[in-house]
Amino acid sequence: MFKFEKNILCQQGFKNVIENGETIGFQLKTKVNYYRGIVLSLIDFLEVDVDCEHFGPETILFSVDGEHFFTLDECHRITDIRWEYGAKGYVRVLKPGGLEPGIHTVRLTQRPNICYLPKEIVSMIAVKECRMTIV
Amino acid sequence: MIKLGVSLYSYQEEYLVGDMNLEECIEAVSDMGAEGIELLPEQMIPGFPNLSDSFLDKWFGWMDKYHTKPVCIDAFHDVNMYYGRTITQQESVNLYKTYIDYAAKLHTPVIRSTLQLGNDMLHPTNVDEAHFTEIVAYAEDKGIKLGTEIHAPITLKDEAVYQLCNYAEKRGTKNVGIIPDAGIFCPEIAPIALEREIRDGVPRYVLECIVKARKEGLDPEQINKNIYEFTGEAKYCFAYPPCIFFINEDPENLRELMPYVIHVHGKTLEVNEDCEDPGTNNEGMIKILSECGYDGYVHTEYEGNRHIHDAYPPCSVEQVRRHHVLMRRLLKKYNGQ
Repeated sequence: MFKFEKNILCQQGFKNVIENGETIGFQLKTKVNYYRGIVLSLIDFLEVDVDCEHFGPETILFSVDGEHFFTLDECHRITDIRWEYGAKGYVRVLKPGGLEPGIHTVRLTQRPNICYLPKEIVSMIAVKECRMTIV
Repeated sequence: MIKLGVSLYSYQEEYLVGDMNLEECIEAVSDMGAEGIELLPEQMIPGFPNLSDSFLDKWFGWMDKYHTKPVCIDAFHDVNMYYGRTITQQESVNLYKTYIDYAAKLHTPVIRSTLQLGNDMLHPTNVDEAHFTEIVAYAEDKGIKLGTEIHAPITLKDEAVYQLCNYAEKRGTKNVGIIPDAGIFCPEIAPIALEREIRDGVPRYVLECIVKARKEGLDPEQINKNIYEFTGEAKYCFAYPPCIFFINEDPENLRELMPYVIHVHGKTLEVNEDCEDPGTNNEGMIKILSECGYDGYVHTEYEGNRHIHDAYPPCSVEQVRRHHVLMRRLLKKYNGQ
């Protein structure tokens, strides 16, 4: 409905995440599906699909600075950290081994929990799909 | 005297992609010789609700440099900010006190609020009278006016608007009122909104059905039933958004509410090369504002960017300029300015 999906999935920032020599998953960057910044508690949910594999909210960590990552359950309790408008948030997907090098079909689903009207009438959900490459 | 300004919301796309920063948004208003500045703190001033002294120095420096004036901030009401429950009435009061303090620091005399009085199901962000009064008293104390935006799907004839104006009358306050948005005066669904739906996969005949049925005054539920009978596709039954966000209200309805009008949003989705916006009855609105001696700002609020940005790059600066040409033409015609 709000037609902001064009800008939610960033080309820059898509990569595997290596910690202590081990690939723990992959990461991408996203801008908020809205016209203003929100506190983290207002991130209703984030989901990622890569090729035919679905990664639900329980496999996802979110960060606004790329250093401090939170589960979505933790985000729901955070009302003093803002995801600013125009700022890229970090979506980290836990997947041991990460993604294979090569081109992938990446789909991001994002919904802020903004209350305008009942959800049946106005849904804030946005989905954006891109072909993106892991090197 | 009707003065012109811009809600920097208009430049959101350029700000988002990094083409314009806050200073350049202010400069764009100044470039047109316009004066009023309105913005959403949570859109263009990072760190809400904090305002540093160094930011305030820059802010007032820009106002001097560009000969602009802070007029309005747009406030929100995040009733879901505590996950799993709706915020309490007292938390709403505290949130709005925060906005009032914020406006006082930026020297914007007006807050565009989303507060409603009453318990209409369609407006889940209501505040009861006792808590509303606490907010109003705080605004009076700080010299800030709170204007609830009258934005589709709300109309000027809604009970919520009556409640608000009646409240202002009873309290004898000038610190509470309404901010009509020109988006309630839409004879047509904006063509760019329809074209976007077509690019998103909605068959043209479904949209034509919605446009025709809306003109005939059918309610969205009935329109959806007709679409379903015709297409058998539930996914095309989305008459609510186009019908409830493009309301064709008679600007004459504004006349009796003028004592409560604090500020005005000149909403537009598209202004053509003749500097006309056929989708919005701006002429009717400016005529009434002029006849009633409105002494305040009309702020352009361009919102077409999201309807076109999938197909071609928006140029919000140009759209706002054209809207100002249109507004000046109408002010000359109806207000002798």
